[in-house]
Amino acid sequence: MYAQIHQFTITWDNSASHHLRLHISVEPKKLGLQVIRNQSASTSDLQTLHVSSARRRSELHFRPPDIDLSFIKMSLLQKRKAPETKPKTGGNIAESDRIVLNVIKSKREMAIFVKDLKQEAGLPDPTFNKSIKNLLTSGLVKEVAHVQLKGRKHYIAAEFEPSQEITGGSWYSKGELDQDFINGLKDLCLRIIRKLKAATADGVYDFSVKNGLINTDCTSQQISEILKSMVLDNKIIEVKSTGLGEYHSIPIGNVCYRCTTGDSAQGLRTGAMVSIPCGVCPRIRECTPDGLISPTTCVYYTKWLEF
Amino acid sequence: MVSPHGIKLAVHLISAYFGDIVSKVCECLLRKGTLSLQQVLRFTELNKENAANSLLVLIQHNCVQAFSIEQQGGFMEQPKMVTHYMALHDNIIHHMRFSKFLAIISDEFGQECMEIFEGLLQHGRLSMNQIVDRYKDKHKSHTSEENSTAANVAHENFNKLAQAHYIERCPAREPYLESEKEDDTAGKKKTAKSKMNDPSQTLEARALAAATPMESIRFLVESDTYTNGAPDDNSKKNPTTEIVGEKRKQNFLEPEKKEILWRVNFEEFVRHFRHKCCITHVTTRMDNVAGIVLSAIFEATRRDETKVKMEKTVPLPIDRIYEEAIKREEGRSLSLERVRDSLVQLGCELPIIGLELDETYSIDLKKIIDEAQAQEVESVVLKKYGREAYRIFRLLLQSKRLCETDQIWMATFVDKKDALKILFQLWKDDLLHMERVANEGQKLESLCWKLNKVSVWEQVLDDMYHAALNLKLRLVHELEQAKEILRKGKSVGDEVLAKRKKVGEKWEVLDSSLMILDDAIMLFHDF
Repeated sequence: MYAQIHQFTITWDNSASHHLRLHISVEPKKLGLQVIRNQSASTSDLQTLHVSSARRRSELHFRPPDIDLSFIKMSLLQKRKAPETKPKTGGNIAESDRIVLNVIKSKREMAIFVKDLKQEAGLPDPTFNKSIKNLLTSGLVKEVAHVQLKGRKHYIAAEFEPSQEITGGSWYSKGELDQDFINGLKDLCLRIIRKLKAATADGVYDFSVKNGLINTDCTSQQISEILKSMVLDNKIIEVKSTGLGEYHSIPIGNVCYRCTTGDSAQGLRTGAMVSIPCGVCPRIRECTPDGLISPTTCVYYTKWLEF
Repeated sequence: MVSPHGIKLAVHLISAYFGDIVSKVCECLLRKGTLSLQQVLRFTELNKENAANSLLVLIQHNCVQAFSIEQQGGFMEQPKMVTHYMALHDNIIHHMRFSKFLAIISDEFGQECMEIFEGLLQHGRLSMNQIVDRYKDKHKSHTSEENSTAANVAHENFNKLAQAHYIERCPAREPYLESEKEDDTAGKKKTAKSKMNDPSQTLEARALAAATPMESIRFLVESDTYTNGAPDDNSKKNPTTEIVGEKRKQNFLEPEKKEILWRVNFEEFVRHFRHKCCITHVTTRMDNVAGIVLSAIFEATRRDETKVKMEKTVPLPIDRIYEEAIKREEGRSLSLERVRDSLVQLGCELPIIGLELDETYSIDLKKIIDEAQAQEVESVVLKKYGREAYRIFRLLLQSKRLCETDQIWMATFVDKKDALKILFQLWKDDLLHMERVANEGQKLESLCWKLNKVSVWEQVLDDMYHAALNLKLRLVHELEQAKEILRKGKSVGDEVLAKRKKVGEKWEVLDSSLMILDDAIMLFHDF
């Protein structure tokens, strides 16, 4: 079964997983039955397929007959040439450097902590330090930031990309939590939920993709994680669909999200305790009626009652 | 078990209302538990007269309940009846809510009812005749006709209060409790009296159950003739009964022996506040319609509630809910479908088949109260420890089991280092429980965290009592400071007037904060 390609883009993701991202938008009416079954229940006019190169053979069940894919091969080849431009690991390097390099390479994308590396290489300190310096200068190894063990130097062979355990996954950038990206995504999700009144994680994802609201690579799983953290922020609440009213498009019993209303919408409901000095006092445990810290001599009270 | 600051606040209230001697006796009872007069004398080192009078004051103001129990005598001695006294902490704390109670009565029944009710608050226990006399004194008239009109008005208003369950007959003065040994032998016979003789209950709970009048006569005004409704087993008493019990009867209660004493029914007010709290919570959490629907259910089932801490509302058919909802001004435009939607929003499940046959709904009130309590604690965490701590706290509150540090920072989008700092801070302040779990494979020790809700909630309640006590003490301090300014006459300069105004404002802030904090105390303790 063939379908007419509506939109077709291919990008080479060099940073994270060496995956070929193939974005194909097709008009659903022209899709075969097999493809339609693979889609989640959505009312959108356009269905978007998001297929990584590793999975594309198993999941992509159709191929347009009238598209020349030679340019894709070209671009792929060009991308794949990149690692070859790196310095060769030929026989010019010293024996000590080779030992260190082999240990680093053996760890593949997991990288290795400098102390462990020193231990495994079994070289004297000055030689080891010199080897590391040489390998870094020649570009055969690189230093990576470990998201969980900050301040601990980790090395990885140049031909490997650090694993998710090292980088922290897509929420991290250069070993730091990418707060701008996270907050931006939170804002976007909140606006979508406000517009839809109630939506599932897939619903939010579909809406954002359909309207081209997400420029960066973002998965449905990530949207789901963001929504869960927003529930913790009390920005939205998790409910089960009743299939009635604003939930009419969501099957009964499915977990969905909707905005909080009233005071709680701010997540900053003023409680009784927080409106008085004692509620947030760091010295409350040491406060006694006749003690050094007491309500009659309390500076927080004095400040509070100054108006 | 009352928390340490709960006791301190209660003692402060008693001291402020009835003086230091009475508060000393009260503190002794609160700290040591149920005691006989001899034990009170020993612990307080007061003389007998002072101690006995203090107990009488406390009983009169419903802060202490007496009961008698048979105690085994020594060698070659007969068993003897001993009167015990137990402090009623909840009733003591209710004393700081009197202004709220008065506001409710004033709103619902107007000024005249409020006057009668005020008398009961001031004197603790009064007979109907005393209430009527008090009312007549206040509205002094010259002719007997006017006097009888005043009496009728007082009777009428008294009836209104009793019908609304805002006042009730006083519990029995000194119920007799059978010893546990007797309970065992009479085990088979236990029927109606099972509650008061149930050995699995504490002695205090049994005494309270025994003292409470039967539900059928608790609010009955007509049969106000000669005795209180609850079983008052004085006839069973041994001649060796404690002297203070006898003395109380002779000196204080004997002139009113044939009259029924009435008091304020605190339980009804707590129920009123509980309903109000639930309605406010669902209105802010959901919408106005949810609040109207819940309020309608409360109104329709008010008399069917068997206890204050009802976990669910009494099941009610949709027609009744709808009928009650559209009676309200703000609910007039509601459709049946909208009411049904709100019920679903409130957590009710629609019947799958036969909507018309048996469509009754019951709202989970415990869930609403739990949410309101959580919100209060979360707001403290948010202000004290920041937004990230708030997120972590909410995650641990939702999670019923131990959570690893990695799991926490990943789910909350908090940097690991910061997350650890926050977790340790919360742990240091007793908000979290921490466990070290060894991981043999990675030769690492990981930290796991859990929120022990029961102990944290107890701690929060104790902090609230502490904060309430501090507000009270600061209030006294501010008034003490301003004594000189307040003493001066009317002809004072602008400066003094400005100072007076400032004191008034401070007093207002402290007092209103105390009232708001008191709502939170009730949320954690009474609801």
